[in-house]
Amino acid sequence: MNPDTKTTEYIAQLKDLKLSDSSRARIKNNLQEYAAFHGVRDDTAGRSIGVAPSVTSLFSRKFVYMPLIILVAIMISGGTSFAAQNSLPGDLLYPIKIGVNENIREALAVSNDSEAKLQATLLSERIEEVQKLETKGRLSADIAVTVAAAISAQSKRANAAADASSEPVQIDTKAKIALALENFLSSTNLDTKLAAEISTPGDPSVATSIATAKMSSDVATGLYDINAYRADMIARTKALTAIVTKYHTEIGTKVTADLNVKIEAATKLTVTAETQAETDARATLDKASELIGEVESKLSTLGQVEIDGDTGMITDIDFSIDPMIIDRGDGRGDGIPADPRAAQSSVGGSVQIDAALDSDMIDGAASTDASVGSGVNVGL
Amino acid sequence: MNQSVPEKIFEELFALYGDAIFRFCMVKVSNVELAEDMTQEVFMRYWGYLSANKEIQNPRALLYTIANNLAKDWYKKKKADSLDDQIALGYDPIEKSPGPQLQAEHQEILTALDELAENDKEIMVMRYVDGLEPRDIATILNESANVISVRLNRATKRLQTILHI
Repeated sequence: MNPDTKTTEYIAQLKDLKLSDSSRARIKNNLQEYAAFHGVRDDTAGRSIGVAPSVTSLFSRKFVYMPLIILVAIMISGGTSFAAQNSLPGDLLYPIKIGVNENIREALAVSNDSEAKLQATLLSERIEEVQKLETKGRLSADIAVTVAAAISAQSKRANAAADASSEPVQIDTKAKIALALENFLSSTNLDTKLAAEISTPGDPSVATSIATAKMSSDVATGLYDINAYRADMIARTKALTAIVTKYHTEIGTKVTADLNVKIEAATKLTVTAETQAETDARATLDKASELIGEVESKLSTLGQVEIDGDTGMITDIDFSIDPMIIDRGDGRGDGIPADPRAAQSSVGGSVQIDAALDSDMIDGAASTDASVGSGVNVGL
Repeated sequence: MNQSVPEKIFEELFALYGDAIFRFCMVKVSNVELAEDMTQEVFMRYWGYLSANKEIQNPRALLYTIANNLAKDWYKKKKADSLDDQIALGYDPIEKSPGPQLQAEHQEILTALDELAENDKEIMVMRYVDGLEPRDIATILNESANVISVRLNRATKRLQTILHI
């Protein structure tokens, strides 16, 4: 069996490590009591995370039981809520739609997936509202400003929710978001109309909002675009080829050869992906990504790697920072899989120090360089 | 029992993620009782967000983030306590004792994981036990997904050495 699979399967046995039934029942009970008694949270309870009071929210802490009350209210007077559901920005009932109806829908969407679907639906609804307003000729400057900001904010929320959801839902949701935004931005006159409304000596932040909406539309389409994925893989392979070529002396002949084999294999896969159907291409690119990941991983054990914060690609290596290179002496060249334990023991002392460094780094926003470089002595 | 909507959600979340958070805490503190207390504390803090109607976009990520912060506090406190007081009292400051309830094979895996760098342990568990994607782990730990992938890869190799696989 592949040693990697063997290792991960070994760890996966921890799945059985669970709370014992008695502990689970005890904690559940404690939590229920805690929730019941801390519905209105005490400001003096220093352990809790501080929460700024929200004046506008109907669900603010003074009204913790509000959701229940509102639920009942809606059941009794479903009419108001139903009417509000069809309201548009500027209507009397619109705040009820946003503040009550949608909060309830959000509260009921428990899983990340349902949350993502809901947020994307809400985005479509915001956009539909604008379109309806326009049809009715009610898109005044005031309202345009508000809705543009609302759409921008909602697209951010939807994207964030999509990021948090599981893969199939994420792809669906991102597509839905992109489609909705595209629909919004390209629908006849709407964009220009909004822009016109907004460019009247208005608030520059709205232009920004629209730009943001446009950008998130690009991101949404770009993220799952197979061409972008391929381009990214090509860039990663190229960057690594450049680095391995540049530092072949430092890396050593044998390791360089080994890395080049992997890079070449990845390049071939990337080329293969070009002619494949999207699903297959994705799988092929995943494989290439894995190989490239192995190369990146190996490089990061040889010296301190510098990583581009935006793309996450390795841009450079500083071989002088890793004491392991010096410690390994002439053994460096044939290091890779030959005898990792020997390499390990020769630097045993510094592993400790690095581990300590690592735990300190969790604290701050440790720079990517540092956190990648800090574990360099673990060997392969 | 009359439960409000948030309370219902809260209970569901505990049923869904209680074990995962407990495992995360176990890896961090290697002690059953302490990990149970931490798990409870994580959910209590989470309730703080939920009851205040704060916008929670990803409950699972937030739970892990809270757990991670709690673990950090715990390490800090432990450092402060153990170095000055415990050495003076003759305690071994780095000793961690799991509870007697722990099964032998779990103990063995935790011991092996313990040999990894402190912040590699948790990502291994998040990835291979609880199935989080590198991207999700990256969000929780405020890193790039690539850094997480590199660390996962490296930790896997390191673990192979430890386990002689």
